[in-house]
Amino acid sequence: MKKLVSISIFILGFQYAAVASSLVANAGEVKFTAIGKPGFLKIHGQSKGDFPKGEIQILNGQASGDFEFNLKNLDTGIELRNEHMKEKYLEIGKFPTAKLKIEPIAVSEEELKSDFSKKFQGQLLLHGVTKGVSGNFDYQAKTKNVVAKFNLKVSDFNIAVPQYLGVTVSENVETEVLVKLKDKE
Amino acid sequence: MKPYLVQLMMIFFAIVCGSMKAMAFPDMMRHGYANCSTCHASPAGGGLLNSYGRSLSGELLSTWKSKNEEQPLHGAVSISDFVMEKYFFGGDVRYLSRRTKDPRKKVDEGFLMQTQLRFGLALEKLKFLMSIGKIENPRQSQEVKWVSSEYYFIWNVKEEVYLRAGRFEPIFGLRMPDHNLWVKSDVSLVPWLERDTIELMVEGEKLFLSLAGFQSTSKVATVQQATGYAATASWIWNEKLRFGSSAMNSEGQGNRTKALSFHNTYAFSTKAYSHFEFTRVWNNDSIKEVGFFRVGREIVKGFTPLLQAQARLLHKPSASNQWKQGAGIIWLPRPHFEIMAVYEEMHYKREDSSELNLLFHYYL
Repeated sequence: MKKLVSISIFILGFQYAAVASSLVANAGEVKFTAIGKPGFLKIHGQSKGDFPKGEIQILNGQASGDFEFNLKNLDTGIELRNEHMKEKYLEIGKFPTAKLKIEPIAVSEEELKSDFSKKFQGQLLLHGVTKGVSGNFDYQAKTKNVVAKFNLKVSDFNIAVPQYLGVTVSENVETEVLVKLKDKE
Repeated sequence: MKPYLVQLMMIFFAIVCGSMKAMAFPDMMRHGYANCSTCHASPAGGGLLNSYGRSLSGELLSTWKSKNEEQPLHGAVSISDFVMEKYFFGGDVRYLSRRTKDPRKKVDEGFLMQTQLRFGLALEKLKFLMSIGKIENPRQSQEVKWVSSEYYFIWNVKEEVYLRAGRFEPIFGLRMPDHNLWVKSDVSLVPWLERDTIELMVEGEKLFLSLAGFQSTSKVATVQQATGYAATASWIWNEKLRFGSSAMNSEGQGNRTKALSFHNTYAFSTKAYSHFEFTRVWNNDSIKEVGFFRVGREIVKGFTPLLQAQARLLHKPSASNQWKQGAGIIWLPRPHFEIMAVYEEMHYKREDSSELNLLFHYYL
């Protein structure tokens, strides 16, 4: 019996120590930049009235997270371009969201007390295809803001290269995700 | 009623009753369009719009639009995308109504400045572009001569390198369409001084370069004929600022002119922008400096109030400097139509005068 109690206490203690913290997104932004030719047209898109939902868990000095973003809230500043992007290329009717799963990154509780930058790897689900992505992120301790930057290739996600009336958009897209985190209640 | 109220009412009247779409918009940088070739048939900008440029005129520039209204003939005839990518068709009609007033007289005039049809053909690496229609002296006669004052071919040598040759104005300065600006007229960049030109252009993501050699055509008055070269380099910084410098050297009939210009366009936001140009002109033994500044803020899609100032400083003991400053609007109510109204007050030789220009522009 004594042994059972000791094991239970050990397991409970371990769980308490393991779930050190959990941070949840309460605001943020998704941005992307793509280049069109001819003329090196810069297409900037960003989330409008929405942000990536999800949380980061820090477990045994390893941070990992899952975020989901509703693609219907992307805006490029031109209505027709939005329509083409969402209906023809992202096909949001069939694939309404993008999901990013961050693979565990070594982050200590101590590190979270100051600003830092790190590399990350993750799995991005976009247009029904999951593919590995990698990039860098910056963490600001004071605001608990995380800004992650990564590049993606639309053809990796079975998205056709966007073309419209002689303008062709590069298949490489620079993506930036800002997440404002707060402690999970 | 106070004179300025009358002038303001005239501007308002023109806005409400008039209608007319412009082509050369260096300020499109505020929407990510740093180079001209995305929307225009020529990487130098101006003139014929390509299909994407037409689409954008409706989607981004005009206050209102209906489906396919930006297409040739306002979409009355359906043309396939394939045809639109191979053939270009357009045209310009510009009408200027002007009131000038000084202590001695008031002059009201209105005249057709431009009536041109434009055509183009795109092959794999080559484009042929031309215009037909010319009003030789708009203030004296509205007669349109159906001759071509602009025609050239563009060879896309490499992805970012273009060579064009034919009859056209070389690239210099901000590439604004308003040829009555001193920064254009004082370096003879006006449409009636036709030139045969060969020009090399390099269009990069952050850099634009052009180098041109030109010679006046035999149709230009002998005293105005010149042979020369022009070069321009522009850099784009942070997608907000385009800063450039242009140089021109020309000689002819005892005239030797050199010009050096610094110019920039700054995009404060997707709504607000400024243009600045300063040019120093050496003409034989005289020197003058001309400056231009404009700041505009789009308050409703397609409707942009602006403030602008111009200066002409002459480096001669007996000469007087000239200043102009004023306000106006550019309004693109619907695709194909542009209205520009600018009221300016001018100071010259201790005398004040004013000028109200209303420009109606229709793009076919």
